[in-house]
Amino acid sequence: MILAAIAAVIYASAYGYTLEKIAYGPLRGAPRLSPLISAIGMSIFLQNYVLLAQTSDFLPFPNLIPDFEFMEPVAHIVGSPELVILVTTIVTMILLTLLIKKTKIGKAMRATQQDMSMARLVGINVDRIISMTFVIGSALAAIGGVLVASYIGQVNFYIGLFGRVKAFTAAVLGGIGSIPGAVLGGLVLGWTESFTAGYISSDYEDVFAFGLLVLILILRPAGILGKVRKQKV
Amino acid sequence: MLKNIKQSLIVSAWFVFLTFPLMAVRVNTTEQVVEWRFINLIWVAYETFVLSYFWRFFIGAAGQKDEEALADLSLRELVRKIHSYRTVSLFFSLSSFNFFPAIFYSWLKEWLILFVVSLAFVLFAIVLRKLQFRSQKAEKKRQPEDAHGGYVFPLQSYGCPSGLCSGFPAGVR
Repeated sequence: MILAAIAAVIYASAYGYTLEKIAYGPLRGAPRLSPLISAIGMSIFLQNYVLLAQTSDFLPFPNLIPDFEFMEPVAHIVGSPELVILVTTIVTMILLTLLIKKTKIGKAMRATQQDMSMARLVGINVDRIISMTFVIGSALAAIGGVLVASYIGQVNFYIGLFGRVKAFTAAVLGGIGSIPGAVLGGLVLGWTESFTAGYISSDYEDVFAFGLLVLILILRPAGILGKVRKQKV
Repeated sequence: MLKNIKQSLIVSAWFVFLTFPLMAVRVNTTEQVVEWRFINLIWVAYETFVLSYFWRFFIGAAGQKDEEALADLSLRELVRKIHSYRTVSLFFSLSSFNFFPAIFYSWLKEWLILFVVSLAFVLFAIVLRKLQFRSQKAEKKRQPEDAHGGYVFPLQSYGCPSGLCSGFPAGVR
């Protein structure tokens, strides 16, 4: 599993770097909507690329997560895959938070996010930092992809769309810009779906999940852990 | 010229590395065997080298000079320049170099059409963007649609049996 994750991380990072150079770099000074549209375009392109290069069929994916013996007493509540996913999520969340808060590159990322022109003026190589951000983001997506594929047990070219929509919803729910918020948003979204499927009907799990998103955005537009920043003029 | 060839070779090698897992490896789940399709990698190397080289040759070399010159041109002159020798040569070269192998390998056509039409539409979006910039019209909000069309148009053309026209509303106005 570790080997699979390493290979996925290397390739996803390489794809993230290349996509940044091809699809986002040329749109650096463009309005905010342009990179978004470009991102949607690239996702359509990538999906079709995988479809053409591989197949549209569902392919079996081996279960890379072993069954731990110590989990047997509580296996009916939480299985080994869930534990591995939870631990990996917490570890990556802590590492990412440390990277963003404590390291030099993290500080440069935050500076670039706040004011790109000012970051350039203080000597930050903005293009390099943006590329690094894409590499880190893609690497994390690869870890998530390996875990999800191993958990579901099958893959196809379309599998990313579902995860992407959920991940984006979780990030908005938790608060854009907050790493613990994104994790919390994911948990809240997952719990909402599970409880709805368990107590009401699985047909309505998305309705309730997105209904909750709408409700939270009305009551707390910045998300659960998001901070409202007042802009002084 | 040598510099362009060297850089194009690096780009080609990078894309071979990048596309290796998807283009070369395929697992046949019915027969439980791994198919190695190294011929695909050769085509990837060839295509990316040709595209990269011609891109550098026609656009990259004179790109900066053009950017500066374009700012001083009138709209009419700009349109004339777009239809200039260089643009026509670029499309002709890319088309001929890329479609030549497709004559012999029919399975390549789908890929090549997708790839070249994508490129053509991205170029079209760039040209439109320059035109809009020059004309200073309040149409800048439409730029994302051009970029969107750049990707969606070839994909729709590929997927829809109704032909190329089905994709037009996505990118052309």
